[in-house]
Amino acid sequence: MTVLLDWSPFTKTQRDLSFSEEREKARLNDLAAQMRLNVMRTMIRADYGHPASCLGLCDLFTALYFGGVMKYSISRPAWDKRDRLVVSCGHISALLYTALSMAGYLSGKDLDNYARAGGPGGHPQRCVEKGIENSSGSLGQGVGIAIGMALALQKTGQKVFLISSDGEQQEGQVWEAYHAAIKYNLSNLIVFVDENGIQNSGTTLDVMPSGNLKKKFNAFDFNVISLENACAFNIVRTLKTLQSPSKPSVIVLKTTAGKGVSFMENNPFWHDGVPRGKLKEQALKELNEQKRQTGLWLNFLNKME
Amino acid sequence: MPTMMDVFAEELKKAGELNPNIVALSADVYGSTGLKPFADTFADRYFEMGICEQNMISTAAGLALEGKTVVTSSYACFSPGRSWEQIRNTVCMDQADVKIIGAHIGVGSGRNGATHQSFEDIALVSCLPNMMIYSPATEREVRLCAKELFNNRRPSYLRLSARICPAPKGYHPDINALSVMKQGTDIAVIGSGSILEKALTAAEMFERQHSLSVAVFNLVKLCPLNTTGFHCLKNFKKVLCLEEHQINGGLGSLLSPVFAADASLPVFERMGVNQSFGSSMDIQDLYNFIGLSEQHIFQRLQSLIL
Repeated sequence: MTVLLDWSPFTKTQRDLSFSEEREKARLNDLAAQMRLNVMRTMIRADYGHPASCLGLCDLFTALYFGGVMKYSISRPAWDKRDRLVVSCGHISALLYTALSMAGYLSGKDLDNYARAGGPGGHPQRCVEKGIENSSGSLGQGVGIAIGMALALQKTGQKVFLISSDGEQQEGQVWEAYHAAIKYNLSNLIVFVDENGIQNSGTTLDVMPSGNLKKKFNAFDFNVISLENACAFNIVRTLKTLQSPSKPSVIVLKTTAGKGVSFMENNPFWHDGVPRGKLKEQALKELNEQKRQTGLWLNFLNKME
Repeated sequence: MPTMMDVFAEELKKAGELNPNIVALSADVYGSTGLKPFADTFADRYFEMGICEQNMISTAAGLALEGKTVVTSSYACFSPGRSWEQIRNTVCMDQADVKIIGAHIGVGSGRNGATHQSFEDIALVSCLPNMMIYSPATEREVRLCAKELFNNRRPSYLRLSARICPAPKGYHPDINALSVMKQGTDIAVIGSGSILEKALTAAEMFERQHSLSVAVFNLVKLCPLNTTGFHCLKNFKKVLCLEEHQINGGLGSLLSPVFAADASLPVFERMGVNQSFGSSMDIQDLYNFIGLSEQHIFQRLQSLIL
């Protein structure tokens, strides 16, 4: 495992980011590293979960909950002016709960009981008081729910963020829903498609190729953006360009399945395989080390001020 | 001849005038499923979803989770038919305030053929937790169901047919209980939906030839089932459950446990579509084809007294 510190602020002759932006990037990277560690701990404790996509999407969840682009209120979870986050690929429940725990909606005890009696389910059940906007698990259906919510909120200026997966695009219903998104010009809808290239039975390429998702969404007349292995900061920066889009947006987010754990990366086995024994120790060790390094870097930048 | 969908359309438009929170969705069949007057009047509250029954239901759920009272319509064979899992997961599981209008139940328009006929809708929907099922027979019942539907704030299924059972003189329907359509003392027919018109005709045919009398009862709300009035059935010799639906999974399947659990109730028999599909033909021919014509019901009543 090799994790290199990001010295770019000091090595570049012409910096892309201001110092404060570099520090914000480091803050979000540190949170994403913490989220990867936390979500892995949650799944290992439960001996249940879908690690590959959870690890791959920590940057996105960090961007949404800690990047200042999604309106929500911990003190008033049902605040009617909040933006909505619809998670359609419900198998990433461990990540949703971990993010909600870090944001303050759920407690550590909730995470301890993940997918067990009294705890949040293996696939989410709607509970607005705990920040869960929709029940999900049956792929494709959250896309329609997001369409309905976006229709209801169309005139309020509130956004509906939808997280879907590349495998999920195999469900016919999602394409029904995209037709409606365009017909009703749901410009308040922002879709993320997690293109991690794996699914339950193997690679997406083997099971049922997604084809060129960007072309497909362009053909539907979405506002299409592609991001590859984007950090949370870059996702936030992209979302800030979408403050007032004129049509529905989709961000095809190419992620690394199992990001941060060397033996898991891009290996379909870990779609729903939770590491045990020595592999468990190795996964936690790698994620701990990454968290240590992002923390060091953040502290360093903070002290530079 | 007005259909149940025509009557429902009037009620939906009236409800829309009173309640701005009601929105409606259809899957390219709004004209034939009772949504057109509402859509024409409240264009900004009608969403045409195209031939996409599955997404229509999930979108309805999303609207309902945001506080709307949502009406969806299609032919029953397509919704709940095709959209069952969406109804299960996105409507019932979260108790979304969605009203699923299943139109053209039973033989439908006849000539459209088996794909467009629906003898399975009660089976599909009655097994779902949190779902209320309304199956009116008369015009007045359609109106009563609609009124309750728009105010119950619960997942609901309303099954409508192209035919309406004319209300017998003096009939006072109670959609929440067993209602007497025709008095009688010996055999009781319990049915639901417009097929009851045929039950009433068959009962009169039977009484003209026999000294026994036939009562006809109507059940409108099938889920949750109110069985408190069932004690009045104890004095009958036989009870025949009649439905324009597959015998497996329909009204008879909902009533069987009630009769099995109470030994004081009479022998209970079931009549409906028996493990077969419909076909494309005129409606009366189709009732003959599936064994639910007035003559078939009359013969069945006769067999009960043998």
